[in-house]
Amino acid sequence: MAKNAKPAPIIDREQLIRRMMGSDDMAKRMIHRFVESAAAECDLIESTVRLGDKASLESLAHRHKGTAQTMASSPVADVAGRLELHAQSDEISELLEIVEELRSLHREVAAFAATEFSATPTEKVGT
Amino acid sequence: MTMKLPTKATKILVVDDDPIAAETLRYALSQFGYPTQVASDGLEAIKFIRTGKYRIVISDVEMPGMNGIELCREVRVMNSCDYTYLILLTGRCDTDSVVEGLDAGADDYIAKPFSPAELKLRIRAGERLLLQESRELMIFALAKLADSRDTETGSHLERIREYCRVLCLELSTWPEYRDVIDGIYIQSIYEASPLHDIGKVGIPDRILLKPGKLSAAEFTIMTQHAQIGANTLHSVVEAHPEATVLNMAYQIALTHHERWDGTGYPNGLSGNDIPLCGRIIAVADVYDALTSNRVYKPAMPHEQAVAIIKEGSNTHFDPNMVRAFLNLEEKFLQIQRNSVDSIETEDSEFLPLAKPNSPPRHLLQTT
Repeated sequence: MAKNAKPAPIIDREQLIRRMMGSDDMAKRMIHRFVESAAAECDLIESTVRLGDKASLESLAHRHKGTAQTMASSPVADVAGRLELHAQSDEISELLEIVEELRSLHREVAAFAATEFSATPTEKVGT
Repeated sequence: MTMKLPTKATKILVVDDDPIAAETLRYALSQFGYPTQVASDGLEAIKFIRTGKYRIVISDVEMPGMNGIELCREVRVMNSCDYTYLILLTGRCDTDSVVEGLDAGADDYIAKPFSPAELKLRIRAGERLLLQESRELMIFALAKLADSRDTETGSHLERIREYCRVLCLELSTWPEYRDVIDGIYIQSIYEASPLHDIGKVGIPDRILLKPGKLSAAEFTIMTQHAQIGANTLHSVVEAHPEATVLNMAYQIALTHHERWDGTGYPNGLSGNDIPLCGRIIAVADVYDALTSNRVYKPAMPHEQAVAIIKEGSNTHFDPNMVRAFLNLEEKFLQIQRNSVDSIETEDSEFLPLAKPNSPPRHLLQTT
């Protein structure tokens, strides 16, 4: 990315709604699902890193990148893509740093979801 | 009042281990009016595909268990008569990945994340192809109708096309046929072979349904079915020369009783003057006739039928076709066993009964 380029938003709201066929409700439902599954997903990725299971890590990171792209989150997709790319070569400590970066971005996603797509109690996903 | 014909939306199977991607795709498809089922990997997908309910499958590539590429391969080797339209949906759209997917049997590729508008158009392309298959099914239904007058057993046409298909698959691996027998050829013979005896509609019942040996005069009339069928199909082929399947059906109807040594009918063609499809179906048709029950004779054991076909090499049959058949004889037996027929009973009241001591009509002499 060029130095002066505007950083991509954590979620591209317009793009997300376009992906969801113009439905705010669907976008809301899916982003909350994304938020709710993120912690478990990052835990799984982290344990795979610690186990040194490079093939599984590559596969999980690839899947996470796809999910993030579907959710119009290019920062998350980029970091997951980096994890996929370095899964086979990097040291565990370096990979864990990337996982931490991923967790941090997911906190931003959660904050964005809470602000932009606040769930009403009856609509909360996962219930 | 004119009523619009009701149409049924194609059921689509979505295969993705990512629940968010699967749900998003499912939602888009539901907005387009397609009923959708989700499978989380290739193995689960196979179970759904086997139900025959899903004619379009949209699958991710990277999945645990059976991935999308393996799924495509598995679907293509499945012994299914209905075509399954396979679309791979993946983030990996580099040339190598696309080639690998198409080579495995995928019909189309969509980049992830998908554009809903593009997705809709690609599904429509798949539906057009499936509609073409519906037309082909209509051809098969017509062939069945023509065949229903005959004494041949219920699944004769299904077996014939399977025999032709396996023979072609074998021959397509031989250097001398590799350039001729490709996927289109195999699909064409699969669709056209059931029409081989369509000319029998023009043969009088007293001859077609005769349980005993045909007299020389009756046999001459019977042999006309090849020309009658060919004439019928030729008029359509002339009007639609681009219709590959009908063109092959014409050749098959005309030449399936020609013999390698030139003693067949209706034109006494010999050797390679007989179109390849005619030489292929000759083996399939005779094997099926020999191993099936008829009102005038019981089914012959597989081994005996194999021996007769082997003996007919270079006289009745193209020796290469016999060689291919001998390589595949186990498969023929399997197809034959999977389609165990008895003489059709539901229409038997309309058929003349075989006299207990009447001599069996010799199959190689008959149609």
